[in-house]
Amino acid sequence: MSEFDFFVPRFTGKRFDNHSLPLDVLSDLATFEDFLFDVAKYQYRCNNPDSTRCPPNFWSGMGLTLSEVKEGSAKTVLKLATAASLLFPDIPALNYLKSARDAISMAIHAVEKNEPPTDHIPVHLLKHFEGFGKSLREKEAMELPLPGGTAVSHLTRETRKKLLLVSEQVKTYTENATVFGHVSEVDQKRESFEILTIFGNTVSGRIEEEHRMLLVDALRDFKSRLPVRIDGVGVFNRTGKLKELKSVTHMSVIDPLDISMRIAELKSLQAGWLDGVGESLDADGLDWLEDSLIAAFTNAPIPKLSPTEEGGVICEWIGPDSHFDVEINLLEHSGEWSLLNRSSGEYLEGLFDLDDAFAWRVIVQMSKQFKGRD
Amino acid sequence: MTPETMLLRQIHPMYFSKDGEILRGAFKPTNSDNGFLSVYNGDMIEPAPAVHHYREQGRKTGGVAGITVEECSRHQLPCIDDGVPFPEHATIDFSKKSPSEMKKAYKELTIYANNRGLLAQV
Repeated sequence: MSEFDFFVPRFTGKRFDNHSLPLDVLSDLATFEDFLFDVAKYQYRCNNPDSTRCPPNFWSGMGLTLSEVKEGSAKTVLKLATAASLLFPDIPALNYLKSARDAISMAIHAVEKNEPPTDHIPVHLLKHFEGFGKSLREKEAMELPLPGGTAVSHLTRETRKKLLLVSEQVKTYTENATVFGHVSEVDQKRESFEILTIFGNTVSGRIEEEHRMLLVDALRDFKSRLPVRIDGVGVFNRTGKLKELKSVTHMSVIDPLDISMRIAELKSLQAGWLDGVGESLDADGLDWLEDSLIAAFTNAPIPKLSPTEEGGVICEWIGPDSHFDVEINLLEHSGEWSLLNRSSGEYLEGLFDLDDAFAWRVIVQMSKQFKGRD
Repeated sequence: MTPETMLLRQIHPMYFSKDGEILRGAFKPTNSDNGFLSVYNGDMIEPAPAVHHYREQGRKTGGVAGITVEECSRHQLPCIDDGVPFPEHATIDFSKKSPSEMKKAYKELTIYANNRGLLAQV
């Protein structure tokens, strides 16, 4: 039995910065083996059109194992185990597997260049991207080495979607999804539920036992407007609209002022959102703000967030005789703050550099001192 | 209009917080308003019909908040029943204020509106 480094993808994105690999990404890698062998078998049949199948024991003893996660974001090493000795590296099956590995990477690279991936992989095998790459989130990528050099292809949510939708027969694709909204229906007979999302559309899903009580309680609270957050795998149509939840991994009742929920709303604003005026908000800036607010307001009054006409965000705290806000510039990471206190007659203004952690500590302290309506 | 006249301001849905408060953006004139904030003259139209009238023009509102003429005058904000572009139209004039004075003024109006609560809701 021999083993050698066969496939060394590198993961980039915030989740991989500490050189670890989230468990859901492992499930992605687990699907790679089937993908690889299916492509290799297809190539064998192309080269041997008179054979309906590979010779007996052609792939015998071959399989992938995850051996390590290296530094440099998360660089994973999948080793190929073969029954044959590496003293004989030209065994046909091994060459087919290497060719299949390269074809997968080149197919991804092709869609990055707006070229057809079917020059490398037949359309019916592209369905393997349903599993391979499913766990990737926004701004994450799996970098796959391309043959013959240091270049890499990038499997991202965007390239994966393009690969899955190459066939016009494909009407839907799956992807990790987060849904914010209110439970509007629980049908225990049909074991299904519906969420009225913050965007006004309805998304359905199957009841899983561990979420049953939460769904029923949240439905009872529908009128009190307690929202829920659901993370899972969604089924999207070709235009990228979420149609239903295929599975749910996490579900929780959240604060009505939940920061991530409000940021999702702000991200959805199109230019002209304010009756024809109002700029859309910078997505990277909103990601930065979401991270900053979640880190800062773990134990302080959550700010109420709203957009400005110019594409900024206001963090606001309102009391019966006072008002405190920070108007945030998402591109410059700066914040103009102002505090109005009718009791003392004070009106104060200033500027924060929000890349400075000290500024956030001051904002949190000011929000805590602020006498809220409740 | 009298000092007690209620000026009705339509609140864009993004200027409601999820816990029902009216946010300060609701009282800030947009750049194209040139410092004149549009409101309905409450002597001429009730809050609920004002919502209906606003939505008929294809504009977004989540409800109506109210500020009196007297509250505006406390902060040197003249109120004008201009009747243009429709008879019930009025304006609150921020145009003479510096950016800092304007911000202070619309924060004040936000507090009044929240203390009074919504007058009509969609």
